Amino acid sequence: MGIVEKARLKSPWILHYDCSSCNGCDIEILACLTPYYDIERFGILNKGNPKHADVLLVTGSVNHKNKKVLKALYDQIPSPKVVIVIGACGCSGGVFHNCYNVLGGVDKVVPVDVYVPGCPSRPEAIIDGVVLALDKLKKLQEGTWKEPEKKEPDKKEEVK
Amino acid sequence: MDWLPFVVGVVAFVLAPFIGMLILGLDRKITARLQNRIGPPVLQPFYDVVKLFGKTELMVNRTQIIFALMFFATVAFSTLLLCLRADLLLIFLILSTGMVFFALGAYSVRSGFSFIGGNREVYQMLAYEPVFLIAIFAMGYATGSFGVDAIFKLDRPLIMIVPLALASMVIVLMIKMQKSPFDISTAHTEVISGPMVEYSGKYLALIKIAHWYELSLLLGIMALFLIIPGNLILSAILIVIMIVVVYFVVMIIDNVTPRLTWKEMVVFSLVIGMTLVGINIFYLALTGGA
Repeated sequence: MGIVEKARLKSPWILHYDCSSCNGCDIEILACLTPYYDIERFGILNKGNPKHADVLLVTGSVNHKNKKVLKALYDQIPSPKVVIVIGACGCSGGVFHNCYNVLGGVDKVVPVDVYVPGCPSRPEAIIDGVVLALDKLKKLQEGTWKEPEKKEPDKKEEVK
Repeated sequence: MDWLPFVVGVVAFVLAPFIGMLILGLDRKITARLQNRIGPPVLQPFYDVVKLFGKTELMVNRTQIIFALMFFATVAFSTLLLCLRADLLLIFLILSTGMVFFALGAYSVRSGFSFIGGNREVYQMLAYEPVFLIAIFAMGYATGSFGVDAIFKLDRPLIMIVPLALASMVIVLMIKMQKSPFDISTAHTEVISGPMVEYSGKYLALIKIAHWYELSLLLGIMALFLIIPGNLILSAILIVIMIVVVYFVVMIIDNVTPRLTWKEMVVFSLVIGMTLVGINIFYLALTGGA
């Protein structure tokens, strides 16, 4: 592994985008930046600017209004980039999954690397998700990454 | 020709960005400790810059890139001039040109944050450049020459002749290194990262390296005050102590003060900085010069 690849794992800068989230997950993300959790010890900085970012943290479900914004933000991040979805809404649409205006999870619009479940996700889970994403990036760089097997979800009758 | 100062100068020029990087890394670590955090590793600025060099290129326009390259080149060149003991006034003027390129780079893109950042960068220049210039005038008045060589030929260190010029250089250092209460142009919560907002990848990395150079250049100029002619080992020890003390004070002020507005910054810097150096020059003139 070259020096650039090593440096990539040590300095992931974050862009946080709130796609119609209820702010529960956003507050948990901001809690990660406080001295109690201190994610800066991994070199993580919250940059508010897609052009400086490496990691896109998305919370909330995607709707027709904000899908363009999400796509634009994703396109403005220079590669290599990682997308992490925080919270149940972002993973699948959550409780809003069958609303008329909701497209569903973030993966309907941009490719997602790590899903962090929870409503809201705990800060520990978010840090775990970022570490997992870095682990995936490391394996991708080494060429040892294997896509996990996809399990078909249990088909249940929809509640009417 | 005596080649030893030349070799020492080139070695200092090669080491300069790494010294700046280490100081910034320690700054982040100690800031974290002051806030009861663990903080990033000391080499974190190095990782950041190496990572930025590995990102794909994404530019807004070509003008922007020319300005970033010129900013880097002028700041590095003025550091080289200091290492080669050139004229202080020349170093100051070339450094100012570099800052103008930085502001123009911010103006060259159609982005509100970048534009406001560029404006604020110019306000910062308005605040520290007169103080910086007059501090250099004081050094020139004390030694009778703007050459760095003249400082090595004095009979006592410069700090005993113009101590208040060194004090005003601390203000310049704080404004230039974007330390609170003077972090006007890169105020994260107001203008994200100001003039740098539209830069990405290796051009952002170049700007970061230029900032490392800037920091070592400023500390280098401040180090000139403590050079004891004929006893370079003692002066090296004093310089290290001075840098540690000054930077620690700057860091504490950075952590305990909120941001000023640009008007307050300009007034504070001009009034306090100019008065300090003015008193010193006036005293020198009254007592018959150096």
